[in-house]
Amino acid sequence: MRESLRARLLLWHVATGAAIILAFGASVTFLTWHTRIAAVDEDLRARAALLEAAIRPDDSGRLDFILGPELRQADASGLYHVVWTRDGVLIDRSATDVPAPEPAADGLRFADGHRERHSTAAEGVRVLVGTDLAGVRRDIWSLAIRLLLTGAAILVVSVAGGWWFTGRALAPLDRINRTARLMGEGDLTARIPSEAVDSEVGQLVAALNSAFDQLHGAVERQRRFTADASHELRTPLATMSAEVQWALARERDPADLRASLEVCARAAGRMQSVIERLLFLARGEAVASRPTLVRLDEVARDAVDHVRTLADAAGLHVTVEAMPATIHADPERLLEAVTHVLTNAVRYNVADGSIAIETREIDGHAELRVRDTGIGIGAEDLPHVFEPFFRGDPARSRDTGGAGLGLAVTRSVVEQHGGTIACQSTPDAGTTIVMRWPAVG
Amino acid sequence: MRLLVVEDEPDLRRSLVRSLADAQFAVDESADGEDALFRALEVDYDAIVLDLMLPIRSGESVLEAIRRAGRTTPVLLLTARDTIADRVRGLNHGADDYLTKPFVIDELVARLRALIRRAQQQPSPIVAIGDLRIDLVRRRVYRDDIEVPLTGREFGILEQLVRHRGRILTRTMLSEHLYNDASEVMSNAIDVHIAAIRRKLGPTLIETRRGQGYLIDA
Repeated sequence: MRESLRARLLLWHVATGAAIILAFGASVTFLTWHTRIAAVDEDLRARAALLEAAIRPDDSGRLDFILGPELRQADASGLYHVVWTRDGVLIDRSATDVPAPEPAADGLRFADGHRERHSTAAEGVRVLVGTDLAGVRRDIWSLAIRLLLTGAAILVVSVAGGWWFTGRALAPLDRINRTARLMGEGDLTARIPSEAVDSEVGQLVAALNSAFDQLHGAVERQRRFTADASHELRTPLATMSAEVQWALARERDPADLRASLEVCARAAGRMQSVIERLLFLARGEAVASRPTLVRLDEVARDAVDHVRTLADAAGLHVTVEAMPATIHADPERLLEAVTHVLTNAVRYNVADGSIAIETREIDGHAELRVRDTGIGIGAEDLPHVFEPFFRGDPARSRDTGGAGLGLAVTRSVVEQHGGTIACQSTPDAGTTIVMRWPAVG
Repeated sequence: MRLLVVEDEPDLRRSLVRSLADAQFAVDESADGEDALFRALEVDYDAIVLDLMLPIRSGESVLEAIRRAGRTTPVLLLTARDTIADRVRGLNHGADDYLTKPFVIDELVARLRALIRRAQQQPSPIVAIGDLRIDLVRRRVYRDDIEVPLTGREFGILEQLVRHRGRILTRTMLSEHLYNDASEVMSNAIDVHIAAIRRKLGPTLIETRRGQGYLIDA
């Protein structure tokens, strides 16, 4: 594809170049020929005038024809002449080595490689002045050949330059092609190498690479999501399956069987929670919610009541500073979302830590703020905390961690209600989560 | 046969350990990558069951570190990741086998036995010594096609000696593969079991090398 484009460009280049050079060369040659012939004609005219002046009829009707010596010999100018009487009798001719043509009608003409001028002088005397055009023709040929050679040289240089230049200009197409093929084959990390970003092609390359980045990111997120989801679902399933197989393998104590069933129940509960949250995230806004006027401060108090037992067990100090704030929301979903955030604040807190919940209305916004004195989140993890299955600290074992869906669900709920959620954190100092909605009234 | 089970989900870990103990393995457990690596380098396990998604240190990294330390312990990856790319990556990192969750316990046990057999270069699970036939899979001993009943521990010791035929095994080596960390082992436990085996299978099968240990001659 690329080679043919390059060849087509080049062919066009050669054709127009050759046409221009030929037209130019032909014009110059023709003009020069014309100029030279005009000069020759002028010489012929001047010589003819001299000859005609030399013919003087006397009173008796005889012709007097006296030529100066400069007209006698065939001179350096290369001019010759022939003079006849009215009846065609030769009167005079300048040299013998010139053709001896017949008299002809008055005027200029080309004859046998010569330029001839015929004219009629006094008493019907016929005068022919001529010159050999060999020299002029040689000059014109040599000029034409020089023009052609120069033109050809220019054409070659320009075509070679064009070949090189189009090759260079089209090289990125090759790289784009190669990269696109790699991407097609599934190597999503392939990128188009680019040096010059100024040209249109450079901009195209940058745009394509950025598109490839987006695609790669999306596929990567999808892949990770699937891997995480399958892990979160298969692990409890494997637990249940292993327990059941163990229980059925042979006779077991009733107490052992009971313990086994408890493990199965836990695993089932875990799977149910993961599935529900995944479905919630997948359905997104499609979930029909029943927004009513909700007092954010009351929701905050209810959420605190939900986690109170957990917080007390962890020895955490919980404070609530709830100023009235009202928003449009589905109260159950909102309570669930706030409880997620509070649960995290409890779960990732330190011994003797504290949790502070504030609600207020500010600048037309209703705000809910949860501040904890927990282990915090590293700067590199902060952009990902609201992604599904994100678990910050790899040291966090399954004993403390959930599936990592809580904050993703929370964000989804907050955004469904037209709000925003943000997270600030300092490792080992604590995390603050701020949710804001447009206030009502 | 002594195993290390590395799994971060506590319920699944307990369940695995119990099922594998049922299958006569001595099982140690580990809940994170760091602890798993420490144990794997500390104890000469017969095989390791390794989850890939682990806290602190990923299963892949544990596997690499074990191999980099020159350990050839058979490793079976037990994971929820099931794409071909995941399997290939796991095996390329030095795993010997791959099983996806959920799994069937019997298959896990069979694969572990096969791995151990291969690692100890014993392709056939049935070994004949004199008039004895020892079935390492069914864990039974026959003399002239009549089964001689052995306890689990007794068979465990016999199995060790058969698998390392011609090599002297010390009491420590024998007990290391027989008991997990949690067992309280009496100092003369091995001698007591050996005496019981000799009573059942004849006095000449197992030789004693004084001050060194025991062996079954090749």
